[in-house]
Amino acid sequence: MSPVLEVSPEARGTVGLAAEILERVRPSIVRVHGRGAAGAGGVVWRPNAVVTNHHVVAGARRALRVVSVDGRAHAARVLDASRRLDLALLDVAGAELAPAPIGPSARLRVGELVFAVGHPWGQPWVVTVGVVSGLGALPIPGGAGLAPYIRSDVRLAPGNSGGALLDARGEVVGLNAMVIGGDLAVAIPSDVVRRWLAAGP
Amino acid sequence: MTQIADRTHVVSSLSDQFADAVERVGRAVVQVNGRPRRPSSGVVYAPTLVIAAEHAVEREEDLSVETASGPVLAARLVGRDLASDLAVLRVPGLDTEPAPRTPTPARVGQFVLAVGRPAGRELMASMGIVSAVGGPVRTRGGMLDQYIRTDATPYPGFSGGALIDASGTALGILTTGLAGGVALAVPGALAWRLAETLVRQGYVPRGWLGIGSQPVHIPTAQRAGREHETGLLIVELAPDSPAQRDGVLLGDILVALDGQAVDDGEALQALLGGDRVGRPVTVQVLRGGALITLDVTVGQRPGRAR
Repeated sequence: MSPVLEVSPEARGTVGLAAEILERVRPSIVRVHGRGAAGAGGVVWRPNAVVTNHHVVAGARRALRVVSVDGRAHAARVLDASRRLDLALLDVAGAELAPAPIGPSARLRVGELVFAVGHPWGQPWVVTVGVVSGLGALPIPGGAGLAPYIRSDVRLAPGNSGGALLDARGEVVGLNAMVIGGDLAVAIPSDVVRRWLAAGP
Repeated sequence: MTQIADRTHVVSSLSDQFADAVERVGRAVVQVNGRPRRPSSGVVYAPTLVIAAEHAVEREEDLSVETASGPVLAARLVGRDLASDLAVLRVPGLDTEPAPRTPTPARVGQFVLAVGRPAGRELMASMGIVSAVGGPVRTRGGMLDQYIRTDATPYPGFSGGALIDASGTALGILTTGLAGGVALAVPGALAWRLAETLVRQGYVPRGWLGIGSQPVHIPTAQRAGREHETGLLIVELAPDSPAQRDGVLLGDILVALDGQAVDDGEALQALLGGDRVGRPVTVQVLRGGALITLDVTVGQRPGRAR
């Protein structure tokens, strides 16, 4: 089949290189089976610890499991959770998963490229691309002030929750959390996750 | 590892370029307050002059413009053009540099960014490609010569914002008001020209004959030797309109204007551009099987009530 659009060799190279960057991060992005059958995303933030959304694990009736890209399943338990920030920290002791490279979200600029890795509609490790659409603050549920967040135009679907938002260097800059109005993806900035973890249980 | 880092640097360069492009045009993208509770966007195209989306400027007065910082600036409506969904606002005290505009026409497949300042003075962007370049197309106010279609997400309030290329120069003015929510852009050269016309005259001249018509098939015996199979049957004549004044009758079949064949309403609209306003043109009609040539002075389409 001949391509509809002519892609210059440089552009083709760019697409190939993006795939290369993502390939390196894939082992650090996992699938979390908690609430709901489809499974959501999670990011190996530090050795033996996965960060995901609170709403992914809240009220999980079955035992929590984390599945890595090589297909291995690991038992997980919640170490800490914040409903306010929609964050949860899972312990996956013994899983030997490599932590993802984490970048500072403070350096993000509107218009820069971002990639989302997650499991939309249960399809594992799907990558979507977009740009940072806006940087702002959202009211925290329960009237506890504002939390900074990243808005992007990457296509997200159920199953992307808890998955990684990566910048063009392949570093995790956010955790995808939800979609507003059908086309605006919202992610929790990596700096918010970092501060939350630093405060620690 | 170093080698990979060097190679993948290409992706982050492209990313940096996109962010630079948004920042570059962003200074000239303003928030336009022209309807209750739902601000829209605008582009500074000349000193103190802003192009906005006509449909988002619902009021005639009490208009204002906001930049990234600084006071809310009062704006005055210079003019509006329904056919292109563009309006021009004059904003005294606006010291923003006009947006850079590319002289190159949009190409299908090229990367684009949609940039708006929809609310809270916050700059927003989305990414896509040029999906199509088309036109002329009939719109609610007449004919639009050319449009750009993109798959970049038009967030609420993006109408009046800029569609830019990867270097941060404007390719066109975005609007979802022309085609039922679809993201279209009026190409830069056309938008800037229409804006200048609005500044000069307060309206964009569009030709008007004052007829109501419907396309009809012309039986072979009544074609008066012409080959065209269809024409426009005149079913309505506005009183004291150019067509009535210069001799067009109900029941005539319009077949040509200014030497160009007219098969349907689209063809007629395309021929009634602003350049023909005030000019006498030849109008050919079939009347009782004979071809008659009339000289009709094209009028200006009367303004429509909103």
